[in-house]
Amino acid sequence: MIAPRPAVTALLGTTLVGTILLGTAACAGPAATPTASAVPHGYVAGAAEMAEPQLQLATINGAGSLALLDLLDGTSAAVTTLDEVSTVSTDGRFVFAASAGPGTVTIVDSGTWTVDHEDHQHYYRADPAVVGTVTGSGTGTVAGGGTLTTVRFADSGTGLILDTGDLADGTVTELGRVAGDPGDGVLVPFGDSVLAGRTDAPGSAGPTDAPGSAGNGAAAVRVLDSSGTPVPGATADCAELSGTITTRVGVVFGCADGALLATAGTGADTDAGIAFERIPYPDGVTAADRALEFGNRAGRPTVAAVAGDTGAWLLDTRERSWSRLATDTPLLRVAAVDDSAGHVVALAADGRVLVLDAATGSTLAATEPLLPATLAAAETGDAGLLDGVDLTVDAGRAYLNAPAEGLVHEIDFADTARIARSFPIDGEPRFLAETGR
Amino acid sequence: MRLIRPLTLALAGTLGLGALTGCAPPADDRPLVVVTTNILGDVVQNLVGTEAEVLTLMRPNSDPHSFEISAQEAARILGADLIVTNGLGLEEGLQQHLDAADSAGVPMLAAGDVIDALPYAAGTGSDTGNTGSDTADPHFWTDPARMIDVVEAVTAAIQADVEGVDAAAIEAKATAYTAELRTLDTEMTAAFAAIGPEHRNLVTNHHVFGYLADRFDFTVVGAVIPGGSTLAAPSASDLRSLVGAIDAAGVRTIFAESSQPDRLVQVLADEAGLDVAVVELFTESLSEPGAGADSYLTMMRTNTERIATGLSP
Repeated sequence: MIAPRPAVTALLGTTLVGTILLGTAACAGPAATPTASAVPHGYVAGAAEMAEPQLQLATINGAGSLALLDLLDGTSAAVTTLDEVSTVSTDGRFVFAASAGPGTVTIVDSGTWTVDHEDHQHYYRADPAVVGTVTGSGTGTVAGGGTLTTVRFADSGTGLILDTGDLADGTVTELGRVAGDPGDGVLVPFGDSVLAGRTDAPGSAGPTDAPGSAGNGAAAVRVLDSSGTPVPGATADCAELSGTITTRVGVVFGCADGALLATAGTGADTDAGIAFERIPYPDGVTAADRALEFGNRAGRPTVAAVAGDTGAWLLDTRERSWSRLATDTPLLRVAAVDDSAGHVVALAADGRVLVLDAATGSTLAATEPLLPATLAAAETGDAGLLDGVDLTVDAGRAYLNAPAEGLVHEIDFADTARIARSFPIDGEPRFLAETGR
Repeated sequence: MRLIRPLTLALAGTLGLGALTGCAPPADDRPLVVVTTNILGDVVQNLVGTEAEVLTLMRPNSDPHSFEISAQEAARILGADLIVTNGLGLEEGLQQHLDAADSAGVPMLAAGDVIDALPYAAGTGSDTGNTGSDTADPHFWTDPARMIDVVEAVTAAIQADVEGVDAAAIEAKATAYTAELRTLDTEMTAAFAAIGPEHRNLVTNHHVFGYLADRFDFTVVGAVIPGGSTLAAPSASDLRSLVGAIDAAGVRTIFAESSQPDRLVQVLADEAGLDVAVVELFTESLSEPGAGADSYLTMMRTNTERIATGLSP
């Protein structure tokens, strides 16, 4: 449910709320502490700072039960039950479960997250909670990670811009709404701005600039402010837009001719403080082999994408360069770890997880096939089962859900693709998302 | 260590009622010195005694990079006679409030501006590929000599900017506290002198000991401490960075923050044949009373004792 942006006083009423004692610290020491209490805006009561990443796997099973598996101690707890889930994503803290049928996205706070200070990180844990649900039309695709979180509904093209800080407080606050045209597209926050684009058909006339299209014009990526209003002139062409990912360097968009990279730049073309650069593909890349979807370790500058049936792409957003890794078996998923050893982890079409070397493209290690039952079920009717199979990587491990097998596998990519742990999940883990990172 | 961040208290609907304070003495007519971090808050309290009210914004056991303040505190900042900050980018979460106070003409002193600042050391405890940055390291307090420089500057600022304090009384307190800091410095020098130069290696995932290392000739050896998800089913590859650091440093104690230090010790023994202790240090915040770091002097002595014990042959 969408609530109007509340003032702090409105949350608390105008009467004084009762005194919350701070234990012995309440009146002790140099801190002058007031008597009555209000939790300051943005504060998460009960959040604890921890020594290390509080990694969790959110799984949603065939019955819609969302459970959180604590990767530190292996315990699991059910959080909520959802209907008709069709896709799941995460920004590393919140789990976004989209249901295409009713056109909803339910936002669940996993309660664990990392704050990145570049040279070091801070790790937090609080209680998980269901934050709320937003409603649109069709599949809602969510992008987050910063102060803004966006949802774009494909069937209407409508986008919502939400306040991430309020999600942390347990409230869904709509800061802006982006009108659009039905069809695939992207809506991605970047700092205080939002980047929007709609996918055009191959070979269409090119960028449209219809008045009132509010930045969702096809074949172009536009800059909107946090209320959804287009910034005049801040736009860049992107034909056949497909796929987007955010790295420390900027936001990547997949275009027919290569990547479009938006960075917080300076210069003539940066009306909104955002610069666009093109990173073209090497010569001779066919449409079938272009990158359509990207995967990385959260924030890392090098991202990976499946290259048709030929292997994988690596895009180094810092160096602005593409490289190509050939594999014998076509890939279904791929993610770049971007660690010092250059590990790239992929799910091959035969159900094996491969570890590739970013520098040489060679296959360093492979697991046994991990998805025999899932692949068989996908062949014989339940084609959607494979759509929810996800491969996620963090600094030390990769995780793969095997729904028909009823397992989530933890893979040590730095140690010959060893299966470190396998977690049984009740009722088929249809969807997977890793939080706490 | 699990650090529960205490609730920050505020008063709804009383913005601007700066005179309303909670604890005795109420209705404080004394001048107000606002300090951001609790480490500097303790230091400043030692300098002003009862001559002024000291409002420390950061609670015990919190994170100086991201703590938040109440609306009431934000209002009180604007009425302060002096604001003492750490500076060098430490209090990023407070910047808008500090900027507002600066615009309002409140005198401000950033400790980082009065010390000989060091560049940030190469990223420790992370494999992010950072090789250090151009920015200065804000964690100057791990060197007591630099804290003496700060005390001198804060004392001068109080005398210059805070009306109504007894300058002679402030001078006397500053002299006494500086003497305590010199004693601390002497103690630390003596304790570390007992560690041979070849053993003065801090294998750590903490990122705050650059100044201590600079002052007392330690080498900070950054290490990736395996997290709980990898310690559950570890392999040698998970330990490679840490084992390499321990071997290179030739130490029997590492100073790491780990949620499962006992498990880490066991894994290092089982997988790498290393017999090491895992010891935690206080880093960026004072503790609750009695917990080992309830004042700046106590925090420094606790860390000194732990380092000296851990690295002595």
